[in-house]
Amino acid sequence: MVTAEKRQELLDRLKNAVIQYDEDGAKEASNEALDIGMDANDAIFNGLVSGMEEVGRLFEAQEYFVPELLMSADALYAGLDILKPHVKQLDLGVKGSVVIGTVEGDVHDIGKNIVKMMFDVAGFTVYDLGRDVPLDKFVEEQLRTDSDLVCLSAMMTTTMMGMKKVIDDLRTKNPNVKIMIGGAPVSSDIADKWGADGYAKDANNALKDAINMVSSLKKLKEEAEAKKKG
Amino acid sequence: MTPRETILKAFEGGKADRVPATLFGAGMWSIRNYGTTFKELSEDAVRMSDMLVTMSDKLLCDIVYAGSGYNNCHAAALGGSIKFREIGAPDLEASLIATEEDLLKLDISRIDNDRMIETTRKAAKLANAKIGNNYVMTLTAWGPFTLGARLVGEETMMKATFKKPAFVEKVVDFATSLLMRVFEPLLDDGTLEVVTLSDPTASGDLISKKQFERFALPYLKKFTDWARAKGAHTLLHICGNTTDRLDLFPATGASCISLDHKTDIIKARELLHGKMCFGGNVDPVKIMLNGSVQDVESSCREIIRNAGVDGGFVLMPGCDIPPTVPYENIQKFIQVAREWKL
Repeated sequence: MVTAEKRQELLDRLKNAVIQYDEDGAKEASNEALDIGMDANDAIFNGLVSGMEEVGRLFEAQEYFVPELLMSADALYAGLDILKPHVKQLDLGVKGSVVIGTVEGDVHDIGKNIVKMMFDVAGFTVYDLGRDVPLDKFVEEQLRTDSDLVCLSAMMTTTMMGMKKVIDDLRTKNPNVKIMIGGAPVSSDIADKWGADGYAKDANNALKDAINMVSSLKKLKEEAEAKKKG
Repeated sequence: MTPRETILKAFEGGKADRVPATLFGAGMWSIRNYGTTFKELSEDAVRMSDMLVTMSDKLLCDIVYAGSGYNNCHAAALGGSIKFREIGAPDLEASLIATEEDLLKLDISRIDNDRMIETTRKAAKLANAKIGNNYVMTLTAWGPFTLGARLVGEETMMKATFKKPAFVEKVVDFATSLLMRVFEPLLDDGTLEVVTLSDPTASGDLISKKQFERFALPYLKKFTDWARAKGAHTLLHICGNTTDRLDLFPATGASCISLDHKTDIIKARELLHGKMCFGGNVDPVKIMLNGSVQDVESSCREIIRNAGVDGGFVLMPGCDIPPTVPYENIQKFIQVAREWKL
């Protein structure tokens, strides 16, 4: 029996474990949540993810930096590994699939990994191509998986031009696919100029944008299908 | 004044007869425009030096950077392998160490027998013999924290600052010794008056001020003290927004700190003028790559007005530039500074 009080206690513990990057704490609270029969979805979204949202806020406020973010992500994954097998259906109202990677010449993948984590917890199907990804590979993988979204990352002024080529190639092969770019040298100006649909300022914004894009994409598809039927 | 005298004057905090100006590194731009590849030059010191000399005539920067883009060869010399590629600078295939035991096994003397390091050193010497009277010749390397992170792997390093801080300190200290080994012969024979360190992993966008103070600063200081004792200035570049830690930069002991475009240059002037030379911070992408010649001109003028009229300042882009930056934009960038009399 899960009392409201006990539920709240566990949610707080899950949330704080992520904020305080306490892997063991996240594991303990996750196991306990399952033991008392708490809904895994509830524990993930109102506990772990809520903690990660606070971490995102602390990052934006420049109280947390990348090491803190990575430590929090470890705590989140520690809980997620335990809870995810018990989730009946992970549903944020929108389900999408995304191809993600750091472009050729660039081995910096920390930012990409953090964005990937946000997609993971939100229930996206993620095809992670890793880092230093040959530019053609993004196009191939998008076509192979019919993904809704392609996310490109670059951390250096010297490698970012690769993104432009991927965007151009993707547009030629599949005009409907949504494209998001991110990384230190990238800005919303660049995203506009190069014809990307979105610019991921940070991981939180990346997820918000992705959900909007996939929603609009699904809506377009539905409308097109309705037309066909009509 | 020659470009060399101009830049050294600024490094000493003084006012030259015009605003000093230089790109930062620009290895990839130069190699591409010279019409060759990183790999080809890595085996040919004579050609590498010819590239440096040819590009110095074309770019007219006050500083000429040998080894720009080859920074990973210093870690690779200890047992890693380098991957050359069409786009981007040569990279390390994988990190080298995971534990303290691994660290103890690394043999620093391998630096002395590494071919690629030898090529960059020799190219610096050859180029210096040709143009060293006119320009400042330097050789680039990663800063201690960044080089340490290359050895361990960036993500592991970031987490280790919390999980194994004493290990991180040992790694960065080792990286500092490694850097000394790389530069020593060139300082001893007088080839270099300026050492250039780039410390992107110590970026203001990656680690907190507190961590910078603990894991990056003491080792930068150790290195710059050593270099200074051998008569060399250190030019240090740190990426990202470092406005919150500008006050710490004089304690690095560097002669000049090159600031990213995200950093507040007015604040930098307030905090650094009179304490150390600083450089910056034209946006390398929005202005240098995508801006018009007029955009470059107005951005440079604004930055000089805000930060550079009293000396102790070098006009620089906020970071290295993309290899496709239009030549006209670089010409304008240099021209604005060269025509701005102090």
